[in-house]
Amino acid sequence: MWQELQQRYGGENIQIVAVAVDAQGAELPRPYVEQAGVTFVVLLDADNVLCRMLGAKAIPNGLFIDEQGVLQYQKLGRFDVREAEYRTMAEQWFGEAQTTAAPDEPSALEGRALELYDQGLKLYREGRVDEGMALWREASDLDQRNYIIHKQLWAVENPEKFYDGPVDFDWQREQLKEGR
Amino acid sequence: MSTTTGVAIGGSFPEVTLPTLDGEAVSLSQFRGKRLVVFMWGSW
Repeated sequence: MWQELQQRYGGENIQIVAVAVDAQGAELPRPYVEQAGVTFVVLLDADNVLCRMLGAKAIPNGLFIDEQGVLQYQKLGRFDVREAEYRTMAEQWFGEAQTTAAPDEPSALEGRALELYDQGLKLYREGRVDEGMALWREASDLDQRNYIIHKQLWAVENPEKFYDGPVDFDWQREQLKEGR
Repeated sequence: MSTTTGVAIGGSFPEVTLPTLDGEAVSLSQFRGKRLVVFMWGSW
């Protein structure tokens, strides 16, 4: 059930954290977690730290914590997401996160980077490859997170990594790691 | 040991660090900037 929510809403803005309250250690929750094929975070609270912090005397418990780390809702005991009431609450909680997190307007630098990229593309298409690439490098420096600019540069500089057989993604990760 | 009175709704959630099932330490504050649902359950 949680896995379904994570898949539907998962991404940049939401996170499901499951806490296994098992004093005996990781071996008890592990089969459950593996069987359910979960992709969200699963933590182990063998010492009952969270229950103690919350003053909870029973589980299952649910906590909704917002983007600023503020506790917005808690249900101590009988928090069962298979029940429509809690499931609806979780969906609303995540649904709001998605609507409030519209993509930011590009910053001035990011906008300038895109302009330079477009100018570079024009030059490149006119056969002025070196001039175009100089602009792309400038653009890439302005907005280092713009993967499209990165890739375009790499593809021209290192065609063998892109066009000879399968694209070499390991090589791309290396480039990113080394800040190129 | 201090007695626990719980965490107030509308208050900052205290820092807590717990291990994953594979022993890697994770703090809830690592998820700052995201909406969290924490659910606690036991396999017993």
